[in-house]
Amino acid sequence: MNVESPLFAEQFEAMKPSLPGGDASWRQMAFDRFAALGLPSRKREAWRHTSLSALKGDLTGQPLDMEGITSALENQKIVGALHLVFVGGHFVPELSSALDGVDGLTLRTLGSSVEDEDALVDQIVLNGGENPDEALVALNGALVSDGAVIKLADGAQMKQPIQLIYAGNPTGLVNIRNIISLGKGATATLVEIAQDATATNGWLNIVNQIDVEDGARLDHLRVMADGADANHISQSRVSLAADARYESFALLSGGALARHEVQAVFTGTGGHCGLSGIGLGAGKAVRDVITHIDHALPDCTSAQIFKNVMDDHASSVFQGKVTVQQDAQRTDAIQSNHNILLARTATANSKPELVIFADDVKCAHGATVGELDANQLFYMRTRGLDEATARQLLVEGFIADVFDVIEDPALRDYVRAHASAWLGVS
Amino acid sequence: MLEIKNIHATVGGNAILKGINLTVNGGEVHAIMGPNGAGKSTLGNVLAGRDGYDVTAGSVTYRGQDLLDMAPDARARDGLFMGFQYPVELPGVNGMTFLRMAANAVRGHRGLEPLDGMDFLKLLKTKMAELEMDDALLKRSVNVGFSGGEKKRNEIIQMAIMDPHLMILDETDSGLDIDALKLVSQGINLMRGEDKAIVMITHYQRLLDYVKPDFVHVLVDGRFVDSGGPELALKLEREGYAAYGVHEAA
Ligand SMILES: Nc1ncnc2c1ncn2[C@@H]1O[C@H](COP(=O)(O)OP(=O)(O)O)[C@@H](O)[C@H]1O
Ligand SMILES: [Mg+2]
Repeated sequence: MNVESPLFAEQFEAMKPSLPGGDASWRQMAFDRFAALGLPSRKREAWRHTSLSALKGDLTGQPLDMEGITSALENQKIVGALHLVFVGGHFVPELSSALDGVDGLTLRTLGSSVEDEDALVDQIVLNGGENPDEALVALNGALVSDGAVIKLADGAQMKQPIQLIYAGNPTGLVNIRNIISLGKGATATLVEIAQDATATNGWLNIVNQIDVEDGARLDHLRVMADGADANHISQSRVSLAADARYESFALLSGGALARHEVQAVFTGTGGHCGLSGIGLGAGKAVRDVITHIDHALPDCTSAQIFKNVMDDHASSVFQGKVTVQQDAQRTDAIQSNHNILLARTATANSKPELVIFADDVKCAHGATVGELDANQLFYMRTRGLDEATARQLLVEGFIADVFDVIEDPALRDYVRAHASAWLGVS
Repeated sequence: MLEIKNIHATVGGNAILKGINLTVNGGEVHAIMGPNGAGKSTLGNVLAGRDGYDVTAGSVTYRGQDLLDMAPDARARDGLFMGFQYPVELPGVNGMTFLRMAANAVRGHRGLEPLDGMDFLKLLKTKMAELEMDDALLKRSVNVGFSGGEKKRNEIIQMAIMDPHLMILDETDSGLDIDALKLVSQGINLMRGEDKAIVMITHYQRLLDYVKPDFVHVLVDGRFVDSGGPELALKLEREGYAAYGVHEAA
């Protein structure tokens, strides 16, 4: 570490005044944490396949041309959802739904919460970044420009999905922090989408802090469909109280780099954590999924299914760790990662990891890497389908069951349409 | 329709077909019989165009074209249908979607408009009524978890929908109980017509009770060793292939 002049120190000073809460002490504390850690190097297992060296330049980037953004956004909006649109990392009310008026829902922007010196938010923004793998969480805390603060009262049943739309991110680095808490027995659906959202060589760094209280349920869909040369890094930190349920699905289909990280911990018994996702990559794309589910308490279940399809020189990563602590008896944890490589030059890195300290547990994991099956392709061709169509259909078939974890048919179709767009299926 | 001239073929470097000649005209039904390992499925695979089946000599003309020069999907679109001995499972590929794509691939080749969902369902309903089958199978992934009989029925449905000119049916009767055999046979008989030809590959003559062949050929060790009418199949049923130097376990 270079104590004289830590990475980004000058840029941090220059950027601070324009960020919400400008000179607030928590920003400096977050930055100090980052400065102490530096960018994680590829020597660290969690970053082995993801290079951050290209992040070392100008963090502010070029101002944006808003032309065309508005109409593109309209196509991304889920009908009937509450829409929160962030352009270049800042909430834009004119493009968004009204934030009030839904019973049991308190919806604010992080920017306005910080300006109001909301103590809770200050504290949460500080959360994370102690671990060297979390340097980008600390950096996010230091440079965060906005985000959504979503709070559901006990028992609130949100029928409307809440959709966060990211757009118009310049080159440089955009940091968004979302803070989501569901009171006891509340239910909600959160959808995030970054589709062609970030400029060439730009970076989008999202941190989600999620608290699901007793008996509450959050469904969380993430669509990472950024433009070809964009980088999208995300970390969701989830805590699950007694009988809480968290169901997450991520599509990693765009950008040079799409990284989806989930850290979940059970803070009560009887909870369930479902993590699923699909990585699609071509060119030199990297699709990086890192999960850690901490079964700290008994009688919780978790289920993970991730599938990847890599073409050309693309590579996928699945590092899925499940820890079952000594007290966590009757844990049921399953984890699977299946990969298809469409080219000999593509790679899949699969590293499921179970660390078990309890004795009465059911844990299983499976990982496979393969190619499209020649026998299946031939069969399809004898039914008149040309080779490209047959391959597409097989790839679609391979990932089809992952979508099934999305219970709402309209949302399932919404996400599937983005995967189909990648596959070139009409 | 089909003219096979002196075909030799190798699989994995082994000579399997050793000089096959066969002419099939429109309106005809042929049966190819023979012991296990004789090369019956190999012949089917060569005609369907599977990779790894190398034709080292001879020619195949199909509807005036060099069949061996056509890609498997081009053969299929031009009306050559292969019914598989072991139909392949396609996980995650919906049966209905797959069938419509197959139908539209053929229609496109014939210069017809593709069928949309509604029109396709109409066609399907008509065909299923003719076949006396229901479309429950089509709501699942293609062949996934199907019983042997269901897989064969699915082949017949695909055949009916694709409306081919030449059908090569490899052991379509194997693994069927008597009711399923009748149903499948009925499906095959529906396909008979002046401008259509059927080549049934079978190990037993049982199917031939229901689908009467015009010609029966006996394939042993990569060559046709005998040809005749339906009576030849009955003789084989009684006497086996001993007359051709083959001794099979019963
Ligand atoms: N894919 C293959 N690879 C290697 N050998 C094969 C393959 N397919 C068939 N054979 C061999 O070719 C011969 C003929 O097989 P096949 O055509 O399946 O016979 P049949 O259908 O008459 O029972 C057998 O000896 C079989 O082992
Ligand atoms: Mg055979």
